[in-house]
Amino acid sequence: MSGGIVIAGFGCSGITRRSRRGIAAFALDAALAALQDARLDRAEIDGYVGAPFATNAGSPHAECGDEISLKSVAGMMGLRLAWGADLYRRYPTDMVAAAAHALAAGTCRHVLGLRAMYVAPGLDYATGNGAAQAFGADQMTKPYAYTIAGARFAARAWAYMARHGAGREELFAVVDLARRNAARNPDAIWRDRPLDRESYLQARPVAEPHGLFDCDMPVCGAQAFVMCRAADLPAGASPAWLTGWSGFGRPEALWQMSGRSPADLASAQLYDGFSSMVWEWLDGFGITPPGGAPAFIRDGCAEPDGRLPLNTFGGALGEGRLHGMGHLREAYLQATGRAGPRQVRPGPALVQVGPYDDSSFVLLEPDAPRGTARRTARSTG
Amino acid sequence: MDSTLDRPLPVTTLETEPFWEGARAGRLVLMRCAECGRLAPPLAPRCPACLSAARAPQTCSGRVSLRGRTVLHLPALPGHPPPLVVVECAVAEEPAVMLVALDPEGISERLPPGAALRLGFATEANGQAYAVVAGAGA
Repeated sequence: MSGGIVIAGFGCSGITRRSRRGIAAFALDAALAALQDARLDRAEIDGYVGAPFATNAGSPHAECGDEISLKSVAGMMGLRLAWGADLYRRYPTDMVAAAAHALAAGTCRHVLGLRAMYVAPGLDYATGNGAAQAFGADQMTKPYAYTIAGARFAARAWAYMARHGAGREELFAVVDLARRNAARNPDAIWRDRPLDRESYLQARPVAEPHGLFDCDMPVCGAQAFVMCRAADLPAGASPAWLTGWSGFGRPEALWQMSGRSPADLASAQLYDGFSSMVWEWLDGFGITPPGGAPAFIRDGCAEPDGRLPLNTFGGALGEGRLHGMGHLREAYLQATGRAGPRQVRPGPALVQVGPYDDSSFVLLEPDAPRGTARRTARSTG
Repeated sequence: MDSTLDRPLPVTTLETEPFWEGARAGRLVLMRCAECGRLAPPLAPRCPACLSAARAPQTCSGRVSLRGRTVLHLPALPGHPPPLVVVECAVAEEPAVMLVALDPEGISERLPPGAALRLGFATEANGQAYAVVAGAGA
């Protein structure tokens, strides 16, 4: 069991397509917003977790350029850490799991988790830097442009759609839901930009079957959270209980740990760096029968008032490419009843981040896990 | 022509050399486990099934099945202007081994997932041979 661990607060920087401000400015904006939301002074932060790797093909992987690590954040914020780690090529869901392990072990009391994204000027974000050599695993993929513009996800989507009879209409249903949900998210990059069916279908193709609007928008932005044991919750903070986490190789572990099942979910935030990706775990968790996910969304079951509200903040397709942090934040807001006009039925909120062959999961809930006494020390902080 | 020289060159290791040497000879070469007989993907240092390091190169038939396909519309590869057909294929002798190839002739167009293809290798102006779809059918 998770031992009574909560997310105590969440923060978001501004989200913008380009900026003269550097990545550290966004990172610190998000961190300070998270501390404020958790009612916590920075002196109380003694743990840190990040996942700074920039995944775009053209990334220079420059510290405080398009990535920001523990060392820079701790230095710029004057943090005194008992524990901290940056996870290599991992996701916000893994950040939560790592922080939970450190908190459960008693290594630290308040963990700051931070993920920042940045679009550096002068780079071709999607198609890379034209390197003349391909090292390691890249030698089997980069000479074929397989890592460009989500080609590998597009190739998988093609097979899925051919096998299950889905088409561009079903992809539009995903993007359409994202845009309409994003309209209720004041931070979303596409909040004031509805997308009609004709504009979607006429947009230029990128990697078939994906067109321009099937790809999330690279942005400058950051989000951050504070995690602690329930007993260390600052007075006035709003806790979401972490009742389960697992990796994609053993998805059933999420349900075993939480004592929940997919039928218990009140909402799901599923990673949508490309529109077709949301189908993976609707099918994968058995929420829909194999191949049933496109119809589930097309027929309205994923609407805010549907059977399982999906990506209620607009997803990455609506909010911008924060690499799963937005999904985690929305699950936190939904579980704490603070999602405002986006609020759906309170209950277990699923987060999945990552591609089909490398995902991880987190379950957040409004209440303490079964069998765990709810201990919220209102006097601390 | 000049830009063709910029298509990424594989930087090989002992593990991947048999694959790329086979490619130069127009053959699909994978490592077969001496213990359990399974074929391994080119990058694997040991048999993924039994983890044995005792292996020997084997020339495969080149028969594959179509696992995924996309048409890229971005200028993604020097010397290969869009649209670019990229396929992923499962090797017939060991479907767990997935290989990526270009399909410059569009042979995979209108074929369903799982369709039988033949993989070959085409040598570029940079002297390197890369996997291509060479034909359809078993």
